[in-house]
Amino acid sequence: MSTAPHTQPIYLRPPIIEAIIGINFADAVKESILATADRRFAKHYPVHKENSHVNVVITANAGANALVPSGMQEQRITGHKRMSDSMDEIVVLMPNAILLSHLAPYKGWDHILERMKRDWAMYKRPGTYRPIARVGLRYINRVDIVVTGNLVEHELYLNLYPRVPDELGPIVAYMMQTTFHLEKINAQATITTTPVESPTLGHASFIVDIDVYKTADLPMNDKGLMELLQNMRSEKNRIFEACITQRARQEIFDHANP
Amino acid sequence: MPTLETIATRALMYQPSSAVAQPAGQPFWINKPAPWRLEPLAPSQTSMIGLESAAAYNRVLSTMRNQTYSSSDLLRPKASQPTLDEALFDAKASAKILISHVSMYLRQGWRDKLFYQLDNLLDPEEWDPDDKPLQKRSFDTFLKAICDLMPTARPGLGVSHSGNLIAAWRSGNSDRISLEFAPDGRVKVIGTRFIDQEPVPFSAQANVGNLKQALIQFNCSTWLGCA
Repeated sequence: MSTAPHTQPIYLRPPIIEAIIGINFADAVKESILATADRRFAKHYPVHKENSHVNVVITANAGANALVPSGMQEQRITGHKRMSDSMDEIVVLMPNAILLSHLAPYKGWDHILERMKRDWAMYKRPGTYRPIARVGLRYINRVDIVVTGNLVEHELYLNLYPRVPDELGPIVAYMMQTTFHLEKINAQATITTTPVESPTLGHASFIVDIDVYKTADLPMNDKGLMELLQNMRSEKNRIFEACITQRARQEIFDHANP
Repeated sequence: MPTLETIATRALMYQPSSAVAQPAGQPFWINKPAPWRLEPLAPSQTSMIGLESAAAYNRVLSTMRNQTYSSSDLLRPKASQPTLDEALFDAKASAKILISHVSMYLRQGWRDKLFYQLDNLLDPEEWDPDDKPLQKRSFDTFLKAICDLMPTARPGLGVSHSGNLIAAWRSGNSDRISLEFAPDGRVKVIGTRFIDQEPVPFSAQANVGNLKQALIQFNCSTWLGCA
Protein backbone atom coordinates (compact mmCIF):
# COMPACT_ATOMS: atom_id res chain seq x y z
CA MET A 1 0.00 0.00 0.00
CA SER A 2 1.40 3.37 -0.96
CA THR A 3 2.10 5.82 1.82
CA ALA A 4 2.85 8.72 -0.50
CA PRO A 5 1.31 12.01 0.64
CA HIS A 6 -1.11 13.93 -1.58
CA THR A 7 0.97 17.10 -1.55
CA GLN A 8 4.72 17.42 -2.02
CA PRO A 9 6.26 17.49 1.45
CA ILE A 10 8.84 20.06 2.44
CA TYR A 11 11.80 18.59 4.27
CA LEU A 12 14.02 20.56 6.62
CA ARG A 13 16.67 17.87 6.29
CA PRO A 14 16.39 16.52 2.74
CA PRO A 15 18.34 13.29 2.15
CA ILE A 16 19.55 14.40 -1.29
CA ILE A 17 23.33 14.08 -1.48
CA GLU A 18 23.61 14.76 -5.19
CA ALA A 19 21.23 16.06 -7.88
CA ILE A 20 22.27 15.66 -11.51
CA ILE A 21 20.87 16.87 -14.82
CA GLY A 22 22.43 15.26 -17.88
CA ILE A 23 21.82 16.02 -21.54
CA ASN A 24 23.27 13.70 -24.19
CA PHE A 25 23.50 14.67 -27.83
CA ALA A 26 23.17 12.58 -30.94
CA ASP A 27 26.57 13.67 -32.28
CA ALA A 28 29.87 14.68 -30.73
CA VAL A 29 31.47 18.11 -31.09
CA LYS A 30 35.14 18.68 -31.94
CA GLU A 31 37.64 19.02 -29.12
CA SER A 32 38.46 22.63 -30.06
CA ILE A 33 34.79 23.65 -29.96
CA LEU A 34 34.37 21.92 -26.63
CA ALA A 35 37.42 23.76 -25.28
CA THR A 36 35.85 27.07 -26.31
CA ALA A 37 32.62 26.12 -24.58
CA ASP A 38 34.59 25.10 -21.49
CA ARG A 39 36.15 28.56 -21.21
CA ARG A 40 32.71 30.14 -21.09
CA PHE A 41 32.03 28.23 -17.87
CA ALA A 42 35.15 29.45 -16.08
CA LYS A 43 33.36 32.43 -14.51
CA HIS A 44 30.93 30.28 -12.54
CA TYR A 45 33.13 27.21 -12.20
CA PRO A 46 36.73 28.39 -11.69
CA VAL A 47 38.20 25.00 -10.78
CA HIS A 48 39.07 22.98 -13.88
CA LYS A 49 40.07 19.36 -14.33
CA GLU A 50 40.40 17.33 -17.48
CA ASN A 51 37.82 14.58 -17.66
CA SER A 52 39.19 11.71 -19.73
CA HIS A 53 37.93 8.25 -20.42
CA VAL A 54 39.28 5.39 -22.48
CA ASN A 55 36.98 2.97 -24.25
CA VAL A 56 38.52 -0.32 -25.27
CA VAL A 57 36.67 -2.42 -27.82
CA ILE A 58 37.89 -5.99 -28.34
CA THR A 59 36.58 -7.85 -31.35
CA ALA A 60 36.63 -11.62 -31.47
CA ASN A 61 35.81 -14.36 -33.95
CA ALA A 62 34.29 -17.71 -33.15
CA GLY A 63 37.01 -20.37 -33.13
CA ALA A 64 36.68 -24.10 -32.87
CA ASN A 65 36.19 -24.13 -29.11
CA ALA A 66 36.26 -20.53 -28.04
CA LEU A 67 36.23 -16.91 -29.18
CA VAL A 68 39.51 -15.84 -30.71
CA PRO A 69 40.43 -12.16 -30.27
CA SER A 70 40.97 -10.57 -33.64
CA GLY A 71 41.54 -6.95 -32.79
CA MET A 72 41.49 -4.25 -30.20
CA GLN A 73 40.53 -0.61 -30.62
CA GLU A 74 41.23 2.04 -28.04
CA GLN A 75 39.29 5.28 -28.05
CA ARG A 76 40.21 8.15 -25.76
CA ILE A 77 37.43 10.61 -24.99
CA THR A 78 38.48 13.89 -23.45
CA GLY A 79 36.20 16.38 -21.82
CA HIS A 80 36.21 18.99 -19.08
CA LYS A 81 35.09 18.96 -15.50
CA ARG A 82 34.59 22.27 -13.76
CA MET A 83 33.70 23.00 -10.16
CA SER A 84 32.73 25.95 -8.06
CA ASP A 85 35.18 27.02 -5.35
CA SER A 86 33.07 25.23 -2.78
CA MET A 87 33.18 22.07 -4.95
CA ASP A 88 29.46 21.56 -4.55
CA GLU A 89 28.47 22.72 -8.04
CA ILE A 90 29.96 20.73 -10.89
CA VAL A 91 29.64 20.86 -14.65
CA VAL A 92 30.99 18.16 -16.95
CA LEU A 93 31.40 18.85 -20.64
CA MET A 94 31.97 15.84 -22.87
CA PRO A 95 31.97 15.79 -26.68
CA ASN A 96 28.42 14.42 -26.71
CA ALA A 97 27.06 15.48 -23.35
CA ILE A 98 26.69 18.16 -20.74
CA LEU A 99 26.03 17.36 -17.12
CA LEU A 100 25.27 19.54 -14.12
CA SER A 101 25.66 18.22 -10.63
CA HIS A 102 24.80 19.73 -7.29
CA LEU A 103 26.02 18.25 -4.02
CA ALA A 104 24.41 18.59 -0.60
CA PRO A 105 23.18 20.76 0.97
CA TYR A 106 20.27 20.73 -1.45
CA LYS A 107 19.10 24.25 -2.21
CA GLY A 108 15.85 23.28 -3.85
CA TRP A 109 14.54 22.62 -7.32
CA ASP A 110 14.20 26.29 -8.22
CA HIS A 111 17.92 26.76 -7.66
CA ILE A 112 18.76 23.71 -9.79
CA LEU A 113 16.49 24.82 -12.62
CA GLU A 114 17.80 28.38 -12.62
CA ARG A 115 21.32 27.04 -12.81
CA MET A 116 20.30 24.76 -15.65
CA LYS A 117 18.80 27.67 -17.59
CA ARG A 118 21.90 29.78 -17.08
CA ASP A 119 24.35 27.03 -18.03
CA TRP A 120 22.26 25.81 -20.94
CA ALA A 121 22.29 29.31 -22.40
CA MET A 122 26.04 29.45 -21.86
CA TYR A 123 26.62 26.10 -23.52
CA LYS A 124 24.30 26.44 -26.47
CA ARG A 125 25.99 27.99 -29.47
CA PRO A 126 25.71 27.14 -33.16
CA GLY A 127 28.95 25.13 -32.88
CA THR A 128 28.02 23.10 -29.85
CA TYR A 129 24.35 22.42 -30.21
CA ARG A 130 23.34 18.99 -31.51
CA PRO A 131 19.99 17.21 -31.48
CA ILE A 132 19.28 15.84 -28.00
CA ALA A 133 19.48 12.06 -27.67
CA ARG A 134 18.77 11.68 -23.97
CA VAL A 135 17.62 13.80 -21.06
CA GLY A 136 18.32 12.54 -17.57
CA LEU A 137 17.45 13.72 -14.09
CA ARG A 138 19.10 11.78 -11.31
CA TYR A 139 18.74 12.28 -7.57
CA ILE A 140 20.94 10.33 -5.20
CA ASN A 141 19.43 10.16 -1.74
CA ARG A 142 20.99 8.75 1.38
CA VAL A 143 18.59 7.65 4.08
CA ASP A 144 20.36 7.53 7.46
CA ILE A 145 18.58 5.27 9.89
CA VAL A 146 19.43 5.36 13.57
CA VAL A 147 20.88 2.11 14.86
CA THR A 148 19.52 1.14 18.25
CA GLY A 149 21.63 -1.60 19.72
CA ASN A 150 22.61 -3.78 16.81
CA LEU A 151 19.28 -3.56 15.07
CA VAL A 152 18.33 -1.57 11.99
CA GLU A 153 14.66 -1.76 11.19
CA HIS A 154 15.00 -0.40 7.71
CA GLU A 155 11.56 -1.61 6.65
CA LEU A 156 10.08 0.97 9.01
CA TYR A 157 11.62 3.73 6.90
CA LEU A 158 11.97 2.33 3.39
CA ASN A 159 9.54 0.59 1.11
CA LEU A 160 12.36 -0.61 -1.11
CA TYR A 161 14.49 -3.54 -0.02
CA PRO A 162 15.22 -7.07 -1.22
CA ARG A 163 13.26 -10.07 -0.10
CA VAL A 164 15.35 -13.20 0.27
CA PRO A 165 14.64 -16.63 1.73
CA ASP A 166 15.47 -17.08 5.39
CA GLU A 167 17.46 -20.19 4.49
CA LEU A 168 20.15 -18.05 2.88
CA GLY A 169 21.19 -16.65 6.23
CA PRO A 170 22.64 -13.24 6.93
CA ILE A 171 22.95 -10.76 4.10
CA VAL A 172 26.39 -9.24 3.99
CA ALA A 173 25.49 -6.68 1.31
CA TYR A 174 23.08 -6.11 -1.52
CA MET A 175 22.54 -3.89 -4.48
CA MET A 176 19.11 -3.80 -6.05
CA GLN A 177 18.33 -2.08 -9.32
CA THR A 178 14.94 -1.87 -10.95
CA THR A 179 13.75 -0.07 -14.06
CA PHE A 180 10.21 1.14 -14.68
CA HIS A 181 8.41 2.73 -17.56
CA LEU A 182 6.88 6.11 -16.71
CA GLU A 183 3.79 6.23 -18.84
CA LYS A 184 2.85 9.80 -18.00
CA ILE A 185 5.99 11.25 -19.58
CA ASN A 186 6.97 8.29 -21.78
CA ALA A 187 10.28 7.90 -19.99
CA GLN A 188 12.13 5.38 -17.84
CA ALA A 189 13.18 5.36 -14.22
CA THR A 190 16.00 3.26 -12.83
CA ILE A 191 16.09 2.99 -9.06
CA THR A 192 19.17 1.64 -7.36
CA THR A 193 19.34 0.95 -3.65
CA THR A 194 22.20 -0.32 -1.57
CA PRO A 195 23.48 0.03 1.98
CA VAL A 196 26.59 2.18 2.27
CA GLU A 197 28.85 3.12 5.12
CA SER A 198 27.22 5.87 7.10
CA PRO A 199 29.25 9.07 7.39
CA THR A 200 27.84 9.58 10.88
CA LEU A 201 28.07 7.48 14.00
CA GLY A 202 25.15 5.40 15.13
CA HIS A 203 23.46 5.23 11.75
CA ALA A 204 23.04 2.71 8.96
CA SER A 205 22.73 4.41 5.58
CA PHE A 206 20.89 3.35 2.47
CA ILE A 207 21.26 4.90 -0.94
CA VAL A 208 18.08 5.46 -2.92
CA ASP A 209 19.31 6.54 -6.34
CA ILE A 210 16.54 7.60 -8.70
CA ASP A 211 17.49 8.13 -12.33
CA VAL A 212 14.66 9.37 -14.55
CA TYR A 213 15.60 9.51 -18.21
CA LYS A 214 14.03 9.87 -21.60
CA THR A 215 15.49 8.79 -24.93
CA ALA A 216 12.52 9.15 -27.28
CA ASP A 217 10.15 11.92 -28.26
CA LEU A 218 12.60 14.49 -27.00
CA PRO A 219 12.09 18.27 -26.93
CA MET A 220 13.24 20.38 -29.86
CA ASN A 221 13.48 23.71 -28.07
CA ASP A 222 14.45 25.27 -24.74
CA LYS A 223 10.90 25.69 -23.51
CA GLY A 224 10.17 22.05 -24.19
CA LEU A 225 13.37 20.98 -22.45
CA MET A 226 12.59 22.94 -19.28
CA GLU A 227 9.02 21.63 -19.25
CA LEU A 228 10.32 18.10 -19.60
CA LEU A 229 12.71 18.59 -16.69
CA GLN A 230 9.83 19.89 -14.57
CA ASN A 231 7.76 16.84 -15.42
CA MET A 232 10.66 14.51 -14.78
CA ARG A 233 11.14 16.13 -11.41
CA SER A 234 7.48 15.53 -10.54
CA GLU A 235 7.88 11.87 -11.45
CA LYS A 236 11.10 11.64 -9.47
CA ASN A 237 9.33 13.05 -6.42
CA ARG A 238 6.46 10.63 -6.83
CA ILE A 239 8.90 7.72 -6.95
CA PHE A 240 10.84 8.93 -3.93
CA GLU A 241 7.73 9.42 -1.83
CA ALA A 242 6.61 5.91 -2.74
CA CYS A 243 9.97 4.50 -1.63
CA ILE A 244 9.88 5.95 1.89
CA THR A 245 7.49 5.69 4.80
CA GLN A 246 5.70 8.34 6.81
CA ARG A 247 8.01 7.55 9.71
CA ALA A 248 11.03 8.42 7.56
CA ARG A 249 9.41 11.72 6.60
CA GLN A 250 8.79 12.62 10.19
CA GLU A 251 11.82 11.21 11.99
CA ILE A 252 14.62 11.45 9.43
CA PHE A 253 13.83 14.26 7.02
CA ASP A 254 12.06 16.62 9.45
CA HIS A 255 8.85 16.91 7.53
CA ALA A 256 7.89 20.58 7.79
CA ASN A 257 4.46 20.69 6.16
CA PRO A 258 1.59 21.73 8.39
CA MET B 1 29.10 -4.03 1.28
CA PRO B 2 28.91 -2.47 -2.16
CA THR B 3 29.79 1.10 -2.81
CA LEU B 4 28.04 3.62 -4.88
CA GLU B 5 31.15 3.63 -7.02
CA THR B 6 30.24 0.19 -8.26
CA ILE B 7 26.94 1.39 -9.64
CA ALA B 8 27.31 1.74 -13.36
CA THR B 9 26.94 5.37 -14.23
CA ARG B 10 24.84 5.38 -17.26
CA ALA B 11 25.42 7.32 -20.43
CA LEU B 12 27.41 10.25 -19.17
CA MET B 13 30.71 8.72 -18.09
CA TYR B 14 30.42 10.57 -14.82
CA GLN B 15 31.16 9.22 -11.40
CA PRO B 16 28.89 10.98 -8.93
CA SER B 17 30.82 12.88 -6.34
CA SER B 18 28.52 11.52 -3.69
CA ALA B 19 30.04 8.08 -3.99
CA VAL B 20 30.80 6.89 -0.50
CA ALA B 21 34.05 5.10 0.15
CA GLN B 22 33.91 1.89 2.08
CA PRO B 23 36.32 0.82 4.79
CA ALA B 24 38.00 -2.51 4.36
CA GLY B 25 37.30 -5.29 6.79
CA GLN B 26 34.15 -3.96 8.36
CA PRO B 27 31.38 -6.23 7.10
CA PHE B 28 27.87 -5.00 7.49
CA TRP B 29 26.05 -8.10 8.69
CA ILE B 30 22.41 -8.47 8.06
CA ASN B 31 20.70 -11.31 9.80
CA LYS B 32 17.49 -11.59 7.81
CA PRO B 33 15.78 -9.60 5.10
CA ALA B 34 14.20 -7.57 7.84
CA PRO B 35 15.01 -6.45 10.42
CA TRP B 36 18.75 -6.01 10.04
CA ARG B 37 21.26 -7.02 12.64
CA LEU B 38 24.62 -5.37 12.75
CA GLU B 39 27.61 -6.92 14.42
CA PRO B 40 28.61 -4.55 17.19
CA LEU B 41 32.02 -3.02 16.77
CA ALA B 42 34.58 -4.04 19.35
CA PRO B 43 34.95 -1.13 21.76
CA SER B 44 38.38 0.42 21.65
CA GLN B 45 40.30 0.65 24.83
CA THR B 46 40.86 4.15 26.09
CA SER B 47 44.44 4.51 27.14
CA MET B 48 46.90 7.16 28.06
CA ILE B 49 49.25 8.30 25.39
CA GLY B 50 52.78 9.55 25.63
CA LEU B 51 54.16 12.92 24.82
CA GLU B 52 54.74 12.32 21.12
CA SER B 53 51.73 14.45 20.23
CA ALA B 54 52.70 17.32 22.45
CA ALA B 55 54.56 19.15 19.73
CA ALA B 56 51.56 19.13 17.42
CA TYR B 57 49.33 20.14 20.30
CA ASN B 58 51.52 23.08 21.19
CA ARG B 59 51.65 24.26 17.59
CA VAL B 60 47.88 24.30 17.44
CA LEU B 61 47.58 26.22 20.69
CA SER B 62 50.22 28.66 19.55
CA THR B 63 48.27 29.30 16.40
CA MET B 64 45.04 29.72 18.33
CA ARG B 65 46.61 32.27 20.63
CA ASN B 66 47.65 34.30 17.62
CA GLN B 67 44.15 34.00 16.23
CA THR B 68 45.49 32.82 12.91
CA TYR B 69 44.49 29.47 11.62
CA SER B 70 46.72 29.48 8.59
CA SER B 71 48.76 26.47 7.70
CA SER B 72 52.18 28.02 8.10
CA ASP B 73 53.07 26.30 11.37
CA LEU B 74 50.73 23.42 11.24
CA LEU B 75 50.81 21.96 7.79
CA ARG B 76 53.82 20.35 6.34
CA PRO B 77 52.60 17.95 3.72
CA LYS B 78 54.98 15.71 1.91
CA ALA B 79 55.19 16.44 -1.81
CA SER B 80 53.21 13.75 -3.51
CA GLN B 81 52.64 12.66 -7.06
CA PRO B 82 52.14 14.32 -9.37
CA THR B 83 52.57 17.84 -7.94
CA LEU B 84 52.14 19.54 -4.59
CA ASP B 85 49.45 21.85 -5.90
CA GLU B 86 47.47 18.91 -7.22
CA ALA B 87 47.86 16.95 -3.99
CA LEU B 88 46.62 19.90 -1.99
CA PHE B 89 43.77 20.47 -4.39
CA ASP B 90 42.74 16.82 -4.16
CA ALA B 91 42.92 16.90 -0.36
CA LYS B 92 40.79 20.05 -0.26
CA ALA B 93 38.29 18.73 -2.79
CA SER B 94 37.94 15.44 -0.93
CA ALA B 95 37.42 17.23 2.36
CA LYS B 96 34.78 19.56 0.91
CA ILE B 97 32.93 16.67 -0.69
CA LEU B 98 33.00 14.81 2.65
CA ILE B 99 31.51 17.91 4.25
CA SER B 100 28.72 17.85 1.69
CA HIS B 101 27.91 14.29 2.77
CA VAL B 102 27.11 15.42 6.29
CA SER B 103 26.02 18.99 5.59
CA MET B 104 22.48 18.17 6.74
CA TYR B 105 23.83 17.46 10.22
CA LEU B 106 26.10 20.48 10.67
CA ARG B 107 25.13 23.47 12.73
CA GLN B 108 24.29 26.61 10.80
CA GLY B 109 27.40 28.39 9.58
CA TRP B 110 29.75 25.47 10.23
CA ARG B 111 29.97 24.39 6.59
CA ASP B 112 31.09 27.82 5.38
CA LYS B 113 33.52 28.20 8.26
CA LEU B 114 35.05 24.77 7.59
CA PHE B 115 35.42 25.65 3.90
CA TYR B 116 37.20 28.84 4.87
CA GLN B 117 39.51 27.00 7.25
CA LEU B 118 40.30 24.33 4.65
CA ASP B 119 41.15 26.98 2.05
CA ASN B 120 43.62 28.51 4.49
CA LEU B 121 44.89 25.20 5.78
CA LEU B 122 45.67 23.77 2.34
CA ASP B 123 47.03 26.92 0.76
CA PRO B 124 49.95 25.89 -1.51
CA GLU B 125 51.77 29.15 -0.83
CA GLU B 126 51.98 28.35 2.87
CA TRP B 127 52.77 24.71 2.45
CA ASP B 128 55.99 22.97 3.38
CA PRO B 129 56.39 20.25 0.76
CA ASP B 130 58.06 17.89 3.26
CA ASP B 131 54.84 17.11 5.08
CA LYS B 132 51.99 14.82 4.21
CA PRO B 133 48.73 16.33 2.94
CA LEU B 134 45.53 16.06 4.91
CA GLN B 135 44.34 12.45 4.85
CA LYS B 136 40.80 11.96 3.63
CA ARG B 137 40.00 9.25 6.19
CA SER B 138 41.33 11.42 8.98
CA PHE B 139 38.97 14.19 7.95
CA ASP B 140 36.19 11.62 7.79
CA THR B 141 36.91 10.70 11.43
CA PHE B 142 36.80 14.40 12.34
CA LEU B 143 33.38 14.84 10.69
CA LYS B 144 32.03 11.75 12.45
CA ALA B 145 33.13 13.29 15.74
CA ILE B 146 31.66 16.71 14.97
CA CYS B 147 28.30 15.25 13.93
CA ASP B 148 28.23 13.20 17.12
CA LEU B 149 29.42 15.87 19.55
CA MET B 150 27.68 18.80 17.84
CA PRO B 151 29.82 21.32 19.70
CA THR B 152 28.76 24.95 19.64
CA ALA B 153 32.37 26.11 20.01
CA ARG B 154 34.28 26.03 16.74
CA PRO B 155 37.79 24.58 16.75
CA GLY B 156 41.02 25.84 15.28
CA LEU B 157 42.27 23.34 12.73
CA GLY B 158 45.71 22.04 11.88
CA VAL B 159 47.30 18.99 10.32
CA SER B 160 49.93 16.74 11.91
CA HIS B 161 53.09 15.69 10.09
CA SER B 162 51.42 12.45 9.15
CA GLY B 163 48.43 14.21 7.61
CA ASN B 164 45.98 13.79 10.48
CA LEU B 165 43.56 16.58 11.20
CA ILE B 166 44.00 18.29 14.56
CA ALA B 167 41.19 20.30 16.12
CA ALA B 168 41.87 22.48 19.14
CA TRP B 169 39.66 24.44 21.48
CA ARG B 170 40.38 26.84 24.31
CA SER B 171 37.86 27.85 26.93
CA GLY B 172 37.35 31.24 28.57
CA ASN B 173 39.32 30.15 31.63
CA SER B 174 42.21 28.79 29.54
CA ASP B 175 41.21 25.13 29.61
CA ARG B 176 42.54 23.58 26.43
CA ILE B 177 41.91 20.48 24.44
CA SER B 178 43.39 19.14 21.24
CA LEU B 179 42.06 16.17 19.28
CA GLU B 180 44.05 14.38 16.61
CA PHE B 181 41.92 12.30 14.28
CA ALA B 182 43.50 9.17 12.81
CA PRO B 183 42.30 7.60 9.56
CA ASP B 184 41.29 4.39 11.37
CA GLY B 185 38.79 6.13 13.63
CA ARG B 186 41.03 6.60 16.65
CA VAL B 187 41.28 10.00 18.32
CA LYS B 188 44.16 11.22 20.47
CA VAL B 189 43.05 13.58 23.19
CA ILE B 190 45.45 15.98 24.88
CA GLY B 191 44.37 18.80 27.14
CA THR B 192 44.88 20.90 30.20
CA ARG B 193 42.28 21.85 32.79
CA PHE B 194 42.77 24.55 35.36
CA ILE B 195 41.66 23.45 38.80
CA ASP B 196 42.15 26.04 41.55
CA GLN B 197 44.33 27.90 39.05
CA GLU B 198 46.62 24.90 38.77
CA PRO B 199 47.01 23.36 35.30
CA VAL B 200 46.15 19.67 35.26
CA PRO B 201 47.16 17.96 32.03
CA PHE B 202 45.30 14.96 30.67
CA SER B 203 45.57 12.72 27.67
CA ALA B 204 43.80 9.71 26.26
CA GLN B 205 43.17 7.75 23.12
CA ALA B 206 39.66 6.74 22.18
CA ASN B 207 37.70 5.37 19.30
CA VAL B 208 35.61 8.14 17.74
CA GLY B 209 32.49 6.33 18.91
CA ASN B 210 33.66 6.67 22.52
CA LEU B 211 34.95 10.22 22.22
CA LYS B 212 31.90 11.87 23.71
CA GLN B 213 32.21 9.73 26.82
CA ALA B 214 35.92 10.58 27.10
CA LEU B 215 35.18 14.29 26.89
CA ILE B 216 32.53 13.97 29.59
CA GLN B 217 35.11 12.26 31.79
CA PHE B 218 37.49 15.17 31.31
CA ASN B 219 34.71 17.71 31.94
CA CYS B 220 35.20 19.21 28.48
CA SER B 221 31.82 18.54 26.92
CA THR B 222 30.14 21.43 28.71
CA TRP B 223 32.45 24.22 27.64
CA LEU B 224 32.69 22.76 24.12
CA GLY B 225 28.90 22.99 24.06
CA CYS B 226 28.46 19.37 23.04
CA ALA B 227 24.93 18.20 22.41
